[in-house]
Amino acid sequence: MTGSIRKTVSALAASVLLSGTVLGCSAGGKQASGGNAPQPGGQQEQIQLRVAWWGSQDRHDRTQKAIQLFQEKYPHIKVSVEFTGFDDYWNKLATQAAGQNLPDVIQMDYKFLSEYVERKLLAELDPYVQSGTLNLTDVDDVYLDGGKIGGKLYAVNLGSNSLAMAYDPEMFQQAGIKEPQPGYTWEDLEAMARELKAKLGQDVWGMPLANEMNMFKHYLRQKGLWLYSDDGKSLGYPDDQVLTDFFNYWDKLRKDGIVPPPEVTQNIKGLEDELIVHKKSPVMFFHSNQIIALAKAANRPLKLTIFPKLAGGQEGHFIKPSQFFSVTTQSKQQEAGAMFIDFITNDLKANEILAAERGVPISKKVRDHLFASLDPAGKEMFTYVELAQQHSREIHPPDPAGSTKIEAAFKRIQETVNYGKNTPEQAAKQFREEAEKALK
Amino acid sequence: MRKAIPWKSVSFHSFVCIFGLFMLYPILWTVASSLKPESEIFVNAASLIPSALEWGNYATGWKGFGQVGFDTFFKNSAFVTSLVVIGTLFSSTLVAFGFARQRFWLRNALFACLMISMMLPSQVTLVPQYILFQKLNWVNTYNPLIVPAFIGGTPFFIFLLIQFIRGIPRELDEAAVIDGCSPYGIFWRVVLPLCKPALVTTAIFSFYWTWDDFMGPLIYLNDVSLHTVSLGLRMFADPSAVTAWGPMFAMSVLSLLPQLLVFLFFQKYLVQGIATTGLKG
Amino acid sequence: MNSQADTTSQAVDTKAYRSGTAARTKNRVVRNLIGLSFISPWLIGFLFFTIGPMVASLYLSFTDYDLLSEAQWVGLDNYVTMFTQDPRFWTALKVTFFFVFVSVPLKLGFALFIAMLFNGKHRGVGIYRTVYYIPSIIGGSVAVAVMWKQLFGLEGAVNGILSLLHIRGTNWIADPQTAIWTLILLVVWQFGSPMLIFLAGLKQIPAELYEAAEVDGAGKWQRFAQITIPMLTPVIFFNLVMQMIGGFMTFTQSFLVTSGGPLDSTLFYAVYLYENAFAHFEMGYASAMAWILLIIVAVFTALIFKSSSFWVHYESEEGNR
Repeated sequence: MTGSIRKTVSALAASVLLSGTVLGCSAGGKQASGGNAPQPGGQQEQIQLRVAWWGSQDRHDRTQKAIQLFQEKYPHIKVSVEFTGFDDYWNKLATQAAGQNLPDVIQMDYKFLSEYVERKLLAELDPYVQSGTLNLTDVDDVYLDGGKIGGKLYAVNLGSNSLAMAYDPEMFQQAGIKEPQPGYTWEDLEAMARELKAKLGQDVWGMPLANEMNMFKHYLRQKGLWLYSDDGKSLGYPDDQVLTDFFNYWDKLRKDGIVPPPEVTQNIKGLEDELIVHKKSPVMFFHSNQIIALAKAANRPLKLTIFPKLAGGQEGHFIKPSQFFSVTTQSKQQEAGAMFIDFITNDLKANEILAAERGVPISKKVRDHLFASLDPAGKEMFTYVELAQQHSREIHPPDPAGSTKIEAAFKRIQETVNYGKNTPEQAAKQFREEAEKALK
Repeated sequence: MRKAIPWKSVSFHSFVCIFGLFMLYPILWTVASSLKPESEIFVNAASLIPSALEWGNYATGWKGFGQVGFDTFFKNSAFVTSLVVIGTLFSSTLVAFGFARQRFWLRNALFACLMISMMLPSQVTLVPQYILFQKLNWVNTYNPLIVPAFIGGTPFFIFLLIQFIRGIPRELDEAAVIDGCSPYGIFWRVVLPLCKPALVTTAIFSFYWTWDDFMGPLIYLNDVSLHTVSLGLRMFADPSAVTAWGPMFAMSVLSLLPQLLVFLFFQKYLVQGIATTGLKG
Repeated sequence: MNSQADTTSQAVDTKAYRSGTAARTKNRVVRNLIGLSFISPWLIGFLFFTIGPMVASLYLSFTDYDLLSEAQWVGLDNYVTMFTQDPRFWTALKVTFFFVFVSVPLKLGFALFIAMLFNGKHRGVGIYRTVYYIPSIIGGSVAVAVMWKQLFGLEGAVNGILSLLHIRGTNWIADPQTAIWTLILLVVWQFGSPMLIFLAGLKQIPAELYEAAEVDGAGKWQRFAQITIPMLTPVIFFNLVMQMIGGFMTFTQSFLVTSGGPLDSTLFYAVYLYENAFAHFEMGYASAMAWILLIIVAVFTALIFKSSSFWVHYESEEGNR
């Protein structure tokens, strides 16, 4: 048992000198974990691939079935899976990163992409694309742009979506109001909401109170602005009036009782609670890939359309990768990781299983193959993304470091306005103060 | 003798029952929700009566995720939790006896260390501990969850037992010494038996804390086949899609059962008081 | 002689006295080693698994550490920022202090009362104990948080009952004035744990004491005041210290039910710390927050310990009753 005694002694040493260890732990210390034991005398060595993602029970089941297919295709690769819910995922990942123990392939989100790339945790995938291991010939560039930083590909889009407004055609019909057609403006939206409220009665709201960060970013894009400056060190819009106007638009509607106050919506913990599901609102603003789940929860057909336009403004929409798969630099099987991503992107049978649950697949072949077998909500999603593409322009650059603080600050300040504790002007000023501090 | 109305008993029972309903209501709600069809759970939130008994929730929930079902989760939880309880009872009693009855160098300083180790929020020791266990190659095993129960113990229980042991008269110790007992003998024959209520309490708490713990399993157990029930429960909730509330509540109810059983079982020992026969020799 | 002297050591010392100074020293060493052997399970684990990470977190509090890359030394910056530039730090302290000083006495009060109620031999008391303990078991689970949000939500059961009394309720969870009270209620509802400990303490009071007192003619209240309470003080002390420490570190309830909101009205210290550590990748700052909390809790605990010599009675450490 000398091995374990030695281990114990080294553990004690590690324990006492831990400060130094923490300092030096990222200095090229590569720890082998989840080892891959090359079998002597075998045709191809056994490879152990760790793949991690977040999601719901549905996604876990589907992805695991798809992985089984992958293992059948490549018998020398054994995949061990790690999945959690969304909230736990990022803690666990950060902890693993600190311990030099990241999985080989990880599901990635646009919000964290630049953080992870900046810290050199994600591997460049271009070499594998060039060599053909990662086949992206059926993929339009527009779907890949979100995963590129500095022109290099670090993450492969697993499914596209875009901001969308879902609406209930039946409720519109009930109110005798025409469904919104692409090209309608913010003023049209306000008028529509007021009319809906008037016609549908006391229990129903005209639309949700939607003054969160996503909506503001969309508004900024329509004005040709962006939240962050090019160097990421300050806010990208010079005049607070932009944010004031944005807050004012929604504040007016709240004070007039057209949109619900936060007391009504505070408890929403998932799609099944949303107002539209309970027929308390005829519209909802969200990401298009959630339509399948939303339609299921609402148990009736819902349609999608683009956001209102800004008169005289630019296009606000962009094609958003709902999530990516990346290969980590800590991985010792990066090629196998690339093969895995290639499989998920291109294999037709696997995509039948995954059923576009993560969004619209990026490969044209896959999209064409799937379209016929989709249910109405799925078809709606696919057609919508094509519509959104016609009204989109390029995606904004990824968020700089400190962005999580800014998003949290915006949420808090948005709350103060919604509770009536702050005026839009003050809120806009306060946001700028906190944001500039966080970006320094 | 004519039977008078036992007012004291009646008022006792009625007070306890009414108050007990408040205590129980949230649990009853969870059980009821586990039997409601998905669409009904939040629509008719206040009602405790499901319109139909949706046992399907239990079946769906039990299936778990991918190839790993809750049977595996329960097995894992049982394994980890029992070992931790045993380890805790073992180490906490020894250590508590040491602090309460023995004298040794730096005793007060070490006791202060014991207390202080409880005051640091775990979020900040989480990562350094993870790195430590990483270097020991213990990640993706149960070791980080079990070994600290045997070596290190839980300060909460150590402190609890110290307080109980200090309540035991020293005359009993002295009597044992005169009979020729070593300190270990005093521990085993005199003090430990008198601590039964405290031991029972320790076992019950240790069981349910470990059973419910998810932070440790979250970061140390990568393979889903190693996951515990607490982790399994958290995997149901995904705010970006539709959470399967029915199955989640169903599995939560099932998860409660072992804890209830443990409590009921050990409670028996709580009921017996202690008899200090030692005094009379 | 020192009344606190361990009589075991007295017996050993007697032997030593007869054999001379060298042997006496040797026996003292032996005695120390025996003592250390008892605490060795904790001591080893403390040295291996606890002290390293604790020291590391102290070191990290002087750095800028985002978990994904190396820690950068910044000296006292974190602490300075915390005290002078972070209004949410003060909010978190205020909220946490309020929570602790309201919920802990309430929780302990209920726990003691119910424990005494169930100490007797009424019929079905075993079942009652289980029923009252169940809320504690269900503890920090997601299911409880969801249920609580539901209960106190705009269309929840509480408002349903209130409407029967013709009172219109608000969304208790979403109202900045009332949100914290829903959490206090949640925590107090789970008084089963300290109740159980009180029960164990009550059970450990030797029956002979009560019998002797009865023989001496003491009434029920006298027995309560002269026997029960004094014998219970070590346990009261324990529960007070542990509930206070736990109170300061409360995290799950706020995190799962209200997420620190609305408007930061339930921003518990531990929740704010977690946000900094894992949501903003500021582990250095979070570590600094952790050590400040440790100091605060240590001070209060030390105060309670100091006060204990006035009101806590240890059966084993006084020569007479």
